[in-house]
Amino acid sequence: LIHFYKRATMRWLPVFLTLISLAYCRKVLVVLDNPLIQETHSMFLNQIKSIPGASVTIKSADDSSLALKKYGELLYTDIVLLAPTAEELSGGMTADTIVEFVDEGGNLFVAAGLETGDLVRDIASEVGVELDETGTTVIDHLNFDAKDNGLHNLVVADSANLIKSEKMVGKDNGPILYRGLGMVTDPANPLALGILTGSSSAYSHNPEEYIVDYPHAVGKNTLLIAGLQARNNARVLITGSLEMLSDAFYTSQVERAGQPSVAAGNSKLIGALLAWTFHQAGVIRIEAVDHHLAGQKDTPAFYTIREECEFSLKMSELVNGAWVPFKGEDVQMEFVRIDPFVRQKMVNKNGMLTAKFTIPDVYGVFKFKVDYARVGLTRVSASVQIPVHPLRHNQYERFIQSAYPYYASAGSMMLGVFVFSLVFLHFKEEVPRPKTE
Amino acid sequence: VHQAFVKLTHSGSNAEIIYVAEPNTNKLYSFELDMNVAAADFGSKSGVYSLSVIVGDAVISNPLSWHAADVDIALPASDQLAEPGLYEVKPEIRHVFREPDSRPPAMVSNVFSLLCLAPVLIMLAMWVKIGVNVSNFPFSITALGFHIGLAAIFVLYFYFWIELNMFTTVKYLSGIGLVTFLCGNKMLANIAQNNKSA
Repeated sequence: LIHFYKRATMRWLPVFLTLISLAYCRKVLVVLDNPLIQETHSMFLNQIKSIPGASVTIKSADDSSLALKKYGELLYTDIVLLAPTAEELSGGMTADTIVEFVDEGGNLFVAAGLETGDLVRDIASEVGVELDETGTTVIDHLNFDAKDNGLHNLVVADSANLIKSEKMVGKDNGPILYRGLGMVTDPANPLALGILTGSSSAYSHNPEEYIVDYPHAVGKNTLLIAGLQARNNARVLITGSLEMLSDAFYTSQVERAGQPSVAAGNSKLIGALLAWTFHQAGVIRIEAVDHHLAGQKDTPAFYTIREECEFSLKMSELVNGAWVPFKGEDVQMEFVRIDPFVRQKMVNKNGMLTAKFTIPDVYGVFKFKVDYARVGLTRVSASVQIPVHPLRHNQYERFIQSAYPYYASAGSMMLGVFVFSLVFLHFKEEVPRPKTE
Repeated sequence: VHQAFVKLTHSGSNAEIIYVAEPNTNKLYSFELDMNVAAADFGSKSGVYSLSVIVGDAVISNPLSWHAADVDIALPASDQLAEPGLYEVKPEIRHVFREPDSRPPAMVSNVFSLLCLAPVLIMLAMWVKIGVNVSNFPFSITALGFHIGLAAIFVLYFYFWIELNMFTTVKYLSGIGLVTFLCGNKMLANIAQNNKSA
């Protein structure tokens, strides 16, 4: 009996192990260029480890066992690259393979620093973010911390400079301490996001050279944290300062000239941004798309023009690991045949969104389309195709007043024929009386 | 100094444009704003701009951002319609249904209805005037059959107009039509015979 039990366990062991690995749904690779980062940035690494369901692998940039794919399948779901000085990574990981990783849906968190090599620059420019050159730094003569070492590059960014999206950065953030490179994004790029900008007096330049022409970044265009949400909803976050993630900055106070000292908001902000980047926050999905005639339940095979139609779908949001009804009030639905004929807001009742409208009097093959994209949320879309028929020959309006002459003529003709046939066939001529004398 | 910037802030939208002031040989910092060249930077936002001078350097102890003046800038209006961005709510579209064709007033239809009824009414009136009868009606099965059949055909036409389709109508019509034809044929033969013998 014991022998039988042992054999059964051996059979089920692979299944058991697969189930355990499925429980860890986020596999995070952290790449360091300096092993000391594990100590200086221990709080940041703990933030990564405390993401629910995350299994974290920490490797050095020159570790020969570094690999993204094995047998053609991705080994990790997310990468944290804390290797600004690395010119290249071992294991065949180049800027191109890392960008390919993002194309396949992986999320990326990259930190640059005052000394940044070409690897991080290439990755950044692939996602639409331009880092300033090595030797430059973000300088703000009016918003620097008291602990600055003379260059005024330990800048303080107010929470007012954060992107206006609570799903990305949370709320009630304190001022952020930052020392590193400045970045810019192209304003024509709709996918790039400026998450934390410098103040109006900030600029990015080499502190030892005079400014000739124009600095790389000036004022509010100087990005301290930039991001990108790709079309496949993979998220990339780039910060120009590895130091802002350090324990020293997390635990320090912000002391500005003429203002009371406040705790730095780095830890809270980076915690929220990590959750956003690794798809724990700001993730929505569409379920249960349905359409039918108003007042009915079944989905018809086609609609006829001018019918009242109701389109509904269910949207959920991932909050703290569970899918809850999505509360957005600005979801729009389109009824499209090449171009949209109807576009209207959907009414949200606890995650069930509905829209009621009249089918246009144009026939053809239409699509119900929902394409919802908002800053900080994943982009979701759904479409259902349905034909719209014109009126059948017996669905038109009848007994129109203008037709009464025709009815009158046909009816009078039928009546006339009947009466005339009676009279004509059975009429009796009166015989004229013979004249009598 | 390291930083000598001039910042223009649009009062309505808080959009900022920053220019660098460069020193000449006498350490006098100046900057030129050629509106012909720089109009594109402003994005056609006309209005009052507050002009600030930002002076800063690592070695000076009092960096300043000094609101120097308010400048009213008028820019030519932009022709391009601002397309909604990827993340913005798009404008609503309501379909405008085609107006139905206009119809003549009811009076016109009624007048013509009466005109169409006029012939049969005039015929009845004339008949009354000249005196008309159906005294020769034989009351035989064939005569009754024919006239009732003829009436039934017209009633069938009426129902076809109201609700029947061609299939059922042809079915009924073939039945009634056959009866009416046979009756009518016999009835006419009888009449012809009566006329010949009279």
